[in-house]
Amino acid sequence: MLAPEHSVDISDSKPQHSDSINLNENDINIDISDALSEKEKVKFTVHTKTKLPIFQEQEFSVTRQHEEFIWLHDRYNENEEYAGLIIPPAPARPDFDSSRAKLQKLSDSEGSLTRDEYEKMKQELEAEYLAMFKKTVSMHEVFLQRLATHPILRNDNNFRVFLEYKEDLSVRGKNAKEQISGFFKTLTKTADEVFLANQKESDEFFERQKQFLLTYNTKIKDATAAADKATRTQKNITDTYIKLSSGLNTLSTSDKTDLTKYFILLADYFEKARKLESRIQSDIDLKLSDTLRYYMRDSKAALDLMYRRSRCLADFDTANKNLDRARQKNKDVQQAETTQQNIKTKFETISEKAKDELNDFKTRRVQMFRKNLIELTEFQIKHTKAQIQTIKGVIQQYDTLS
Amino acid sequence: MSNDLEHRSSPPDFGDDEMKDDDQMFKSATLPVTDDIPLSEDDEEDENPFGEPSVSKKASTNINELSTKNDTPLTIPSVTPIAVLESPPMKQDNQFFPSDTGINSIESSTQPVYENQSSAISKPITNENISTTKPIQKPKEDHNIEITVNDPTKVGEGMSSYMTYRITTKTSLSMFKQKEFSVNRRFSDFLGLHTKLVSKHLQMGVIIPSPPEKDSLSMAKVKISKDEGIPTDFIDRRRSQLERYLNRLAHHDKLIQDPDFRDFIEMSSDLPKSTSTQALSSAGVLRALSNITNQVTKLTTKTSEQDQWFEEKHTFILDLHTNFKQLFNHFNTLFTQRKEAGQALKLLSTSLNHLATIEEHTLLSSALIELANVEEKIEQINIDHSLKEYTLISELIKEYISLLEMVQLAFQERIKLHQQWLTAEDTLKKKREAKLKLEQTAKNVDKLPQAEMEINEWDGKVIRGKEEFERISTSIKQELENFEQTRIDDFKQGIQLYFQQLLEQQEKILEIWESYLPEANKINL
Repeated sequence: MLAPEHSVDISDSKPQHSDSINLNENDINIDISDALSEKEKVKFTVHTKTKLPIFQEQEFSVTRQHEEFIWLHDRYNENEEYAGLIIPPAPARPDFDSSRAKLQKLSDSEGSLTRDEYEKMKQELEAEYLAMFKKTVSMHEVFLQRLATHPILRNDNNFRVFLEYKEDLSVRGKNAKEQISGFFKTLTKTADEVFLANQKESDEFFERQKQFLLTYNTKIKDATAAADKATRTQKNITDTYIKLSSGLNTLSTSDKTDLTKYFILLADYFEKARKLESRIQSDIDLKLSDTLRYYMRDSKAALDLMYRRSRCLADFDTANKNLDRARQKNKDVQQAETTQQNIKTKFETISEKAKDELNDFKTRRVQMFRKNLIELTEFQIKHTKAQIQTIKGVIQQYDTLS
Repeated sequence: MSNDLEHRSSPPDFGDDEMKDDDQMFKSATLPVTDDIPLSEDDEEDENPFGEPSVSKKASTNINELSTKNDTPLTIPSVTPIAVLESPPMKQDNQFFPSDTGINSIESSTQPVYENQSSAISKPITNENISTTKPIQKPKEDHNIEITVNDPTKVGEGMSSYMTYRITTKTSLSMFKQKEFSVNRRFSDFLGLHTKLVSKHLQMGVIIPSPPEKDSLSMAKVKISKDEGIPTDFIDRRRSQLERYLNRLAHHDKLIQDPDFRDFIEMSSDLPKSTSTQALSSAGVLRALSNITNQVTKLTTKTSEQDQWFEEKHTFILDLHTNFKQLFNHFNTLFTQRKEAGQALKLLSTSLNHLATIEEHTLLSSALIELANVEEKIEQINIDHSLKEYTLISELIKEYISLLEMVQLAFQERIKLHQQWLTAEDTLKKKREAKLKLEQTAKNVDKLPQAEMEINEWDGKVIRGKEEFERISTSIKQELENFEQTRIDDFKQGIQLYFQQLLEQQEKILEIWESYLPEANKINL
């Protein structure tokens, strides 16, 4: 069983920025240098390097838990000033439950497996656990890094506190009341979607964006789910390879003829194939599934922006109507005017910023897909070539046996 | 085989009286088998080719070994192989046989078989009492019979419908009237054939290949389906299994001569409908096995070296059987999982396509469409591979699982015969004791002749029992060797083809990814 305390040394796998790259005046360089898995919690060590005067030190580290990341995200979301911006999606909660459950199941069935099988399955599970761990670290890291590079968001006070403050942020979990209000928020969100879809939009750009984002979000959600399923089903196959390999080895010991060597050869093949297939799958997972998943979240964040804008637009419409009515009745005109003016400004600011953000979203998306699709293909080619080499080697061995 | 008979100019000379006796017994025991073979007066000679003691050293040692067991030859006529090392032409024959099929194990050096030889068979090698089982060695080239099963056709409609298969045989063996011929058979005909073969040959210690199993569920689906909806996978698998079954029979030296088998592949008229085809399903075989083991006591008498050999082999077969079964299960699981993975991949492809239609950036959109194509092609390749994997490996293992069961059946038959023999000996002893008692009491003299008769009767039974036992033992030994050789060949070939198939699969996949790379690179801002 994996030790409950599991520290992953991330630093090895990352290029060491600090020494080689010159820090720009305006840069905030963030990375998660370490992560510790403790019982139910994961503790991330957030390491920052910056020359900005607003920070007390130039290089510092703090320990943060997932909830604190969510807290930060919520602060951004609530802030009216950022209404016109796409808030980077919050990282998903680290979920090792399924991994742990599998590990438990494995140790329960230890008796029914051969030593060999047990070892291999354990290896597989541990690799899976490790991969998930690395992924969650990466997700949390990317979240912070996006904030750090965004010209407006990086200046947020809460962000600074998050990076700097040595103590716990004492982010309590939501109490009952907040959970219920959170629940209602999601309801209103769904209402928003319908609202947004039906809202009349005079601006062509936003109309197009709206249509695009609504559909895109749905489709990419499907694609992400499909990619995950493909990975899962493939994993089942590689698990069976373990059994095959083991069964063939058993067969080879009981078969006392020439066939013994051939069975061993076949068993060997399945073992090698298993390792290669695992790598193939994990690469597909990393390059394709994760990209899809990220953009599923990011497109959701863009949609959130659209909702905010649309609510503002609705308010604007209402304010306009109120103003007209006030003018008609000639009552409270001043007040109505001021309100209308405020909302108008707000709306225009949002729209302006939103335009930039949405364009930026597209650029980012295309870039990331491009990078990952190319890497995906290159990895697949590399692994397939390795498969071919393995099989050729096995065929050669077969020939020498015959 | 009949070749030999025709070409024989002078039948071997068997002057031996003893031989004649053996012949008698032999004949009666094997009558059913040898029925159709055109034996003329040459019968006896055929069956006992070893009449003359003119023998080479090598051969004699062999024969000697066999002779001690006093076996009678089996389905001889087919084989009349005799190596007479005196005649040069035959010597050449020795090199003739590539022991591919390995049928030649021990005998190879001594008794070449010449199937299509026109040279006369002159002096047979033997020592006196031996008519041993003739190791039949046919060079691979002479396994000139290939059977294909095609054209599954549905006859009738609804639950009373059935499938017929077209059995085409191509052969140069002269025992058949034509070089190529076809007949139509239905599945139950196969099962009927199997029943007949078992009833005739099991006692002889032949390891009889078994046909594919009955599958009522899948057949029901076939029966009620309309033309378009016939589950082709199942039917095609069954077709290929039937083909392999027939080819195994055809390549079995003894079974190919069986009249029922030959009628099956040759006779164009329909066969009488076989009922009670339940008995020899795999489950049935295993039930029969367990019944026998329960009833029979172990071989507690002399555990000769031979018995030890049988014990070992039996355990070996059992282990192999268990391991094969396990492996088969895993391969089955694999097959199902591959299917699921294929479906998931298809789903991915579709959803990527949908995503591509939404994607506003045109180049990214086409890259996504191309990716969807890639995934779909890969899915297709994987499915193909999965089917081939199933045919090459899984089905092979399955066949061997039931073949091993047939081997076990043969072993059990031997034990049964042993029991019979022992029981006969026991009874004989009792009869003798009874007679002694009778002799002691002065009266009851009239009962003596009867007792005498009974003793003779049981004596005969004992002798026959022993002979049958020894015959089956020898036969099984030989059969097992052939079986093992075939098994080794089958698996070697299967594994080789499988590896080649894997290579093909991966090379295709590589091609696909390599052609995608430029597509992905096309995406630019």
